[in-house]
Amino acid sequence: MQAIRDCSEVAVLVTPQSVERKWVIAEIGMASVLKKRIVPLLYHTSADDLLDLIRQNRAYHLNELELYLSDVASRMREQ
Amino acid sequence: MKQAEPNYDVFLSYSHRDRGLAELLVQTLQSRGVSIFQLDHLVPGDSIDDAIREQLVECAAVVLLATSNSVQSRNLAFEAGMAIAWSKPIYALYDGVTRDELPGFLSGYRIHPVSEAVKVAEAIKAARDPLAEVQVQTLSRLYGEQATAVDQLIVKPAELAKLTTRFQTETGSRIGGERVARELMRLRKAGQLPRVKRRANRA
Repeated sequence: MQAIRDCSEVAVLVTPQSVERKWVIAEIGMASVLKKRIVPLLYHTSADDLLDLIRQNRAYHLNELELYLSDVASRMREQ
Repeated sequence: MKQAEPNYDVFLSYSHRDRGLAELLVQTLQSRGVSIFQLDHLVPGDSIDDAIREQLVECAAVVLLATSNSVQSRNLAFEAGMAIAWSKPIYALYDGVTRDELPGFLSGYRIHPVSEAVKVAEAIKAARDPLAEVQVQTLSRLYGEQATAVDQLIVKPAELAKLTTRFQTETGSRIGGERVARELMRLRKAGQLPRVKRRANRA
């Protein structure tokens, strides 16, 4: 929990299993109430399978990891 | 002039399908002098608006009504996560399910059958501990010196931790960040906090 408090954004690995895991959803609740940016990373799932809670967020497929890391780096530079 | 919402002791989360049971629970808690902010579960996809966020910060405890309608729901997990993020005392009151059916992430929290609501009300009342006047004055002064607005503090844990550490050092108390934030929300509603300029949010 402290890690979620301390970070600037939260990446959620979304797989067919994880979308139904309650602890993952609880962590999304933690991040949401702290107004953290939540970034879905999709693995064997599509944006259609995302929780409504994070459907609006920019998602990346896991094979776009380099692009995500590059985007994170530029956001960090802006802070 | 818009009237400020009152301060509530409890943030109650329940499924809309349990509205009748929730109403009975509210009556029981209120009859014991505990005030309730009711959250009929957020619709998934709804953003958490500032009013809900602030009610959560202000309350002394979060009560989750756990029933067959809610234990497997995403909403209960989501709202529990909100409470966990704020280190709130969480009470899970269950009905129509067994303790073993409750989600694992609630295992470290207080779990009671709903029939023990009176006992829970007494525990929540005991936790409403008001700060001493000198502590309130110190907190108000430190808040003014740090100059981070309350609505920023509640989403910036590092800023809140800094204020809390200074407060603990000056007062010799061990009061934590959750309690400090709760008191700041109360003082703001009562118009007893110095004004600070809201910083631009770059998040």
